[in-house]
Amino acid sequence: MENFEVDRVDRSEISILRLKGFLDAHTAPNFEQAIQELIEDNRYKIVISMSDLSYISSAGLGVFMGFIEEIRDKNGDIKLTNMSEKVYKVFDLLGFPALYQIFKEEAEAEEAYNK
Amino acid sequence: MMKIQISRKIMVPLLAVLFVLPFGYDLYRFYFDIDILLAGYIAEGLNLLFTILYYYFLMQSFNLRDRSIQENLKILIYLLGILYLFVIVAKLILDPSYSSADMPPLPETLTSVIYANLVSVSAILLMTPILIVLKNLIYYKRTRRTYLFMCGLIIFSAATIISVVITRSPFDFRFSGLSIYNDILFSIVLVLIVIQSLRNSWITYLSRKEKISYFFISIFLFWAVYYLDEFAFNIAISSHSLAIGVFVEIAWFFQAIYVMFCSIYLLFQLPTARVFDQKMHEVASLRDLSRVINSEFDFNKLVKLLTEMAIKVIGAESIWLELYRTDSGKFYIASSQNLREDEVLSFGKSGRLALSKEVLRTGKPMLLNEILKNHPYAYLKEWKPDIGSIIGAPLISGNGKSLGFLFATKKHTFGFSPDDLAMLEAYANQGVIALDNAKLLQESFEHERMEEELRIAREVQQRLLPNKIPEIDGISIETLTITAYEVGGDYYDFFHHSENLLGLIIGDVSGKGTSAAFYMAEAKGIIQSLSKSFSQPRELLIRTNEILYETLERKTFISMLMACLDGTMHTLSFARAGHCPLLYYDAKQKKTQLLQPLGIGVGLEKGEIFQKTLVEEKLTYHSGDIFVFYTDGLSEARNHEGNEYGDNRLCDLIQANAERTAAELKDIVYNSILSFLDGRSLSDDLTLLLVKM
Repeated sequence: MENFEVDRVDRSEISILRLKGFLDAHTAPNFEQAIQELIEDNRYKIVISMSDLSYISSAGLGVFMGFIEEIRDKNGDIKLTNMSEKVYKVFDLLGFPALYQIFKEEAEAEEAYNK
Repeated sequence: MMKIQISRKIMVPLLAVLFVLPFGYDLYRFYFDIDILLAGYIAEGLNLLFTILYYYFLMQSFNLRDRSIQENLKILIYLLGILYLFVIVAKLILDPSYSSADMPPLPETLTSVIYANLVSVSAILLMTPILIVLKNLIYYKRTRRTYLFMCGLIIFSAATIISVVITRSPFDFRFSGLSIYNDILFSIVLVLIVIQSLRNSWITYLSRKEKISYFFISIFLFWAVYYLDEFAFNIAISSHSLAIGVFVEIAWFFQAIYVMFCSIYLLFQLPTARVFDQKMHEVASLRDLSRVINSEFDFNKLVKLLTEMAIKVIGAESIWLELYRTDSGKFYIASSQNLREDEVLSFGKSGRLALSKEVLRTGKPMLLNEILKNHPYAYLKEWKPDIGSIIGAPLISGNGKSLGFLFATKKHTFGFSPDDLAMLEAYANQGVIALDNAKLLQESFEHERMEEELRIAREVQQRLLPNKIPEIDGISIETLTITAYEVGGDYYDFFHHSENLLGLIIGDVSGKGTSAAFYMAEAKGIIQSLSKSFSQPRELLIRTNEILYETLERKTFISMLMACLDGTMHTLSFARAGHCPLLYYDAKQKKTQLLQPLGIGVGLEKGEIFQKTLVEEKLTYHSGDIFVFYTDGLSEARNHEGNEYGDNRLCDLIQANAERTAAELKDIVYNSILSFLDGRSLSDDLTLLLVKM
């Protein structure tokens, strides 16, 4: 079984989730729980940083979709950063760039929130 | 041992004859006052024969071997009682007297002769079974040595009997004259009797009550046996037969010494009887519990039983099994005895877990003799005021994790001993087994359920795929599906819009298993019906997204690639909704490319952006061109090094084999993927549609 980890960093209003390892149907619930916790804490300005994410499956992509509506209703957003080329290809294939803001660095996403 | 089978019909008259003959000789001797040496020996021989035959008669007729200790003791008491009763009555009626100057002693009256004979025979009749009973008791938990000593005892007893009969002198421990042989032999017999009398391990396993009552019975028995010789046997039996006299004497010594030792042994065991009883009870209850645990699989019943048994054995006033819920990190009472309902409910409130946390931290059982006011566990008194002392033991699973605790309380302080704590620990350990069993069972149910789900999902998937490949002039189509263990949501379909207008679709539902299979079914139905009204891929996809967005679970989406093949115009128009690119081999230019026009997956967005991003492309094809539709199972196919099969590998393969027919290409691709996987299984379904013009 491949490993998956989520680290959370809170910076004022913004919360950064750093994903690490394999995000597939088996590890997706961990990621889901991490976002659920943010929502419970009323933190809707979310940055998902994926520099250490080695793989993402359709079930992993589904997690983003499961929450985005609720988060955007609360004036929040999920912004994606630090994707490796391989991970970006998966997002791109499915058309995520049309649905989410994607940045190279965490700082850029934070800046976008602070505008 | 010899096995002599003599039927009861012969045995009883035979015994009667053996009794009457020596009796007749006694009468003859009394009346004529003549002592014939040979006749005397014959009479002795007959007496011994009587005893031996009677022994065999007993062993054959009654089951004396396999009796419990209690039954053996009962028989012993009954037999002694009957013997006493008989001797008293006979003595009162016959009033015997003997001259003790001679050896053997002589009866002085006729009634004395009768008395001697009656007592002798009754002694044999009753003492023999008593000896068998004693032997049974001695043989309880016997060792090889016990058997050897018993054989020695019988041999030396027989030697003593023969020696006394031949020398016609008593054993009086003077060690002089002829009786020196008797004395030596009899001393050996006595030593053997003492040794055998030490074999009374059956006493250990009596209950405390039995030990007390048997102690008093044994004192009474000792005196009863002791006076038996004085009162009844002494001279009377020897006047009838020296052999029986010695036999009875040895038997008497045996009984008296054995009963005496038992008495002493019982006395010594009385102080520890209570503890021993408790230990036996504990062992028995643990044995019962472990048996129940292995036969009962209902977890709630099991923990109830566990607390029921533990409270009895430990003698606590209340007991409860507290379990740790890993999902919520909270403790709850799984089962309790003598706790009020409100106590169970109010248990888990915060601030009331200091004790649980302490046991969890140390992982060791603990004992609190007293709960003082300022104690960190003083909250226990608030929760349940009648706690005087409390013991607790953790339930530690095989991997060292604490699953919960077992607590027991008493009203008075200092109510528990270290033994109680050890016992509670033993129960806690049994609780772990119960928990493990329940978990294993749950897992096997779960596994079975999953297998069943997978089976259904596979069946649904199989039924959804078209069973016929459409035929269009000049175009050959091949399909390839490799399924993974967990059903993925791969799907493809064809529909004829008109004779030379063929619709093709390939899709992949996100997620796996039953839900993916059912969404696939839903998508198929919707597309099938929409395809009646719309033939252009972009339009068809927009309509499909509109409908599916409403019904799909938010985190579920379907990637789709839809194409429309016009056999008359030789064009292929296609649109890609988040799916893998379309592989196109241009036969004229001998070039392979991956076509990836914009478009987001179906079900990701309600329509606005979907419509805005979705692009339809149209190209004209020529003979020899190849199109490959595929799913991401291909890019997820990994080899041992974790490398993906990937799009590029497929492009190269098609390009290299572009001259082959569609059917040949299919085999080439299939073999290429299999050899790439090299025995590893797919983690996702893999589907390919090959279209060659």
